[in-house]
Amino acid sequence: MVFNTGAALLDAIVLAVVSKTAEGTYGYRITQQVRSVMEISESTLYPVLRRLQKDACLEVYDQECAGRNRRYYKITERGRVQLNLYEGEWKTYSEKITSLFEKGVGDE
Amino acid sequence: MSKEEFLSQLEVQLSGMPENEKQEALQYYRDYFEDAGKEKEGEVLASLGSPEDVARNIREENGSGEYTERGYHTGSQMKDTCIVQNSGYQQNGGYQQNSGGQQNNGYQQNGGGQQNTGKSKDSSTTILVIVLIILLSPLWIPLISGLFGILIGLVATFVGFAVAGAAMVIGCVAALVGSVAGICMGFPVPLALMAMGAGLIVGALGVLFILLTVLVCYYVIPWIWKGIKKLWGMIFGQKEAVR
Repeated sequence: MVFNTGAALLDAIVLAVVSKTAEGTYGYRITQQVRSVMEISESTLYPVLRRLQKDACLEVYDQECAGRNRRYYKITERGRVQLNLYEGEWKTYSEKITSLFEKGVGDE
Repeated sequence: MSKEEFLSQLEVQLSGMPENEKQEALQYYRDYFEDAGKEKEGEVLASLGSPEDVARNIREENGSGEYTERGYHTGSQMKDTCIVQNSGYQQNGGYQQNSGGQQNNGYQQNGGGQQNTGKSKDSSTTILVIVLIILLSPLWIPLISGLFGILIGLVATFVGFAVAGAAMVIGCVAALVGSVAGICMGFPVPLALMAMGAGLIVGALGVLFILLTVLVCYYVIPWIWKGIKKLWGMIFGQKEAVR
């Protein structure tokens, strides 16, 4: 993709991906899902997940899977509020850009 | 490099971080390799980049930077445009706990700030123009007065012509009435006819004057008006000139 992704947009995308599974999901799967919509390096998401966790937008729990503990991420109430905010902002932003591309600046 | 080599090198690179932070990160990447599966190990290793890069990435997790295809970039100029959510590892290695303040403050304040700079730029140009106008007043006040004087003079001339024309027409009518009355009262007819002719000539000239004045007013005054407007526009910006 030619457009860079800011920290806020990446937060929004991760929150959206995690929110889709009620019981939570794990790092590898989140990374693959984010990578299905945008090109990021596999090491991009750990800091993002960690930050969202510290901000109490995500909570973690460990669950045993195939003889080892796997860490699961789950969205919190606060994370949902944040995601709603991001979605609203994105909607306005993307609509403005799209309308500019298609119709030009709405001067008249 | 194998997965184990990667993880042990990462551990070395992360030394100096609080132990629990370090273990969290190592656990995450161990999980990551496990979940990717043995057959994807090489692919994941290639995509992760060097342990040094990954470690830097983890240390800079307070991340107000840009994520691009080539990875993560910190730029101090980005700090204000991002939603700064917490302060984790600073680049000097200090550790701070997130205070959890309002999360979208930075973002909105920044938007407002940008608008303000736009406005102040606009007003500074206006101020400059006003100062210029005041400074150049010795030049343009006499100039404008002069132009105004010429304009009034022209208008007065036209009015004069019109009045003269009207007077001549009235004179013509008077001459006609007078000569007819003269004939009735027994004046010599040739004399009366001469007076009548002279009156008619004067009347014709009067009509011509009035017509000329009307024509001049019709064409010249709008032309002058347009010129003034154009001049005004040139002085006070394009907005008026376009109209």
